Amino acid sequence: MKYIRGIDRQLARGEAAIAATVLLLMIVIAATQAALRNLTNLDFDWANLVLERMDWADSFLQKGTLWLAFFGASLSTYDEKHIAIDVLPRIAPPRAKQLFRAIATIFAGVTCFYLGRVFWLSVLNNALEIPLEYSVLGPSDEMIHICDAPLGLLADTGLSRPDVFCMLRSALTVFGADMSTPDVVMQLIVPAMFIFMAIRFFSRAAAASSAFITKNYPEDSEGEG
Amino acid sequence: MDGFWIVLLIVLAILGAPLFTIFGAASMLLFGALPDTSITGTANDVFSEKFADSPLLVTIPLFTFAGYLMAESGTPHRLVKLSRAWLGWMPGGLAMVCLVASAFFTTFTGGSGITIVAIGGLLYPALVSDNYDENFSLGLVTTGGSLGLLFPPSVPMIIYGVVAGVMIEKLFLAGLIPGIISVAALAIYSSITGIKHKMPRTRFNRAEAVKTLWEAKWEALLPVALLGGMYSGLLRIHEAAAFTAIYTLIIEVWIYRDVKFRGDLPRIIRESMTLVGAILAILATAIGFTAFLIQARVPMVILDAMEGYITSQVMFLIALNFFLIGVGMLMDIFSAIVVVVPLIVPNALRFGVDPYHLGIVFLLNLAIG
Repeated sequence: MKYIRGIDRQLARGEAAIAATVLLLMIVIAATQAALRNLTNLDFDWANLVLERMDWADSFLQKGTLWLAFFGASLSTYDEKHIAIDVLPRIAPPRAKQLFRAIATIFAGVTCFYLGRVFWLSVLNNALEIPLEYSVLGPSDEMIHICDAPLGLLADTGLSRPDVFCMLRSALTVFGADMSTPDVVMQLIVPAMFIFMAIRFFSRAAAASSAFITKNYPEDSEGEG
Repeated sequence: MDGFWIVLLIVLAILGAPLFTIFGAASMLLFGALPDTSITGTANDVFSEKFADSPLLVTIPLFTFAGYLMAESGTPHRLVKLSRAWLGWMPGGLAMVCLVASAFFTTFTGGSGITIVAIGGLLYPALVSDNYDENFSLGLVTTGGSLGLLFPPSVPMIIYGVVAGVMIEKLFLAGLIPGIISVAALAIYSSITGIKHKMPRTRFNRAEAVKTLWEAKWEALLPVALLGGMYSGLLRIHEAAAFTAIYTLIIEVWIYRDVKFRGDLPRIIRESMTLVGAILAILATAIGFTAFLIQARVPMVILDAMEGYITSQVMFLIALNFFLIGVGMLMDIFSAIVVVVPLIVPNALRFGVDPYHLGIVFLLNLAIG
């Protein structure tokens, strides 16, 4: 149990580091966008050019928020800081408290597991739609995903293959996922973090159940963070 | 979803299951039971402009981070000193200090309770030692925790904007006068209490007032710069949030040096993102729940049920006030907004209630509740 807690602590540190990086990048990018937009309004042509090159910024900010939301939710699970109506566990005697905690966290784990599955299906559903910028017209007038198109066809159409995304896409086929765009890949954070939260809830449930059975309540675990 | 599941979910909520799992489970059970509907209905709206693609959602982590940064720095001390120097001479002066400082703080941190820790933690002992009644002091400090919800850029307001699909700049503007009135009403009450109990008053010291204003000039400038930037068109809403975050970061880390970049910042980011995660997890699962309510035409069912009892706009608003105070007593403000707003908005529009007026009625009642 101690070993698992150690791994979990390290994972939480990693999550916090990713959340911090994403947040600081979001702050810098949004502030840069604001500065450039105002400079463009003051007729600085170079600012407009840079702003045009930053056409990915809005999408980054939106997907960054999604990542922050789910890394934050996972950290909330680690720290046991999710919003809850926890009146009964607060007033209950210590042993009953462990029982309530075990029941609530088993339920939370099962729900997160199913939510992960539902969100996974939803992402797969979103991946079925291939936008025009990721499609190439094949020799028999069929639409081919840009990553699947032969290089010769790409050369004819003057398009270039987004290599990093295509590598990621082919790696994800191991899980039976056929991702259509980088945006859809970014959405995978939601089912992944729900499954991760489910595991965390189950480990908390195991600790609470063990405390209930052995009548050993080490601390009032409000959080370990 | 039959009665058994409803009772089970209520029991699990009372046992302490996180609210987002209650909403998530309810949503999956409801979509699963609906004929010709996929269970993925729970998730679809999360990837739409109602959540992940909403330009407003970006502002929540940025404003929350700025709020936490201020709470962890010397800002609460400077604000209390400033308010005390400017308002302490009035009857019930210290209570007013608490109201004004709390309202400022809550605007950035929403109904998260951090105001109670940051400002209440400082002022509660001072109020009690100045012989304010213990219950009055507790009430004042906890009221302060939700007092600034109507001032920009409050997080619950942003969430209302996301859920109701209204323009957030207009909603911010709509909240100003009701927000000032609610602070003023409490200030008058505090003054009356001060006079009645002959509370001690400090003499106004001009030099001290100017000195405290100079000390807190960077914080005092923030609302002015933020509102000025937003309403002059210089900053779009998410840029305003980034400006607030970067401004707060610069003043707290490099100007006041209250927060250490390496020593404190990672912890503050982690704590603020933990709160953001807790709020947005509820939002993400409750959106699925409300998608079901709309698909099942629940707002229409409510409207049909109201017909015959509520016949005018005034009657609707009076009933709504009572209903929302009740909801505010039972649910946290974030879940309440996500679940109740989609049910009420179509009915309110049918009675000709302005959507911005409705937003303020919602937030104020939930805060009171």
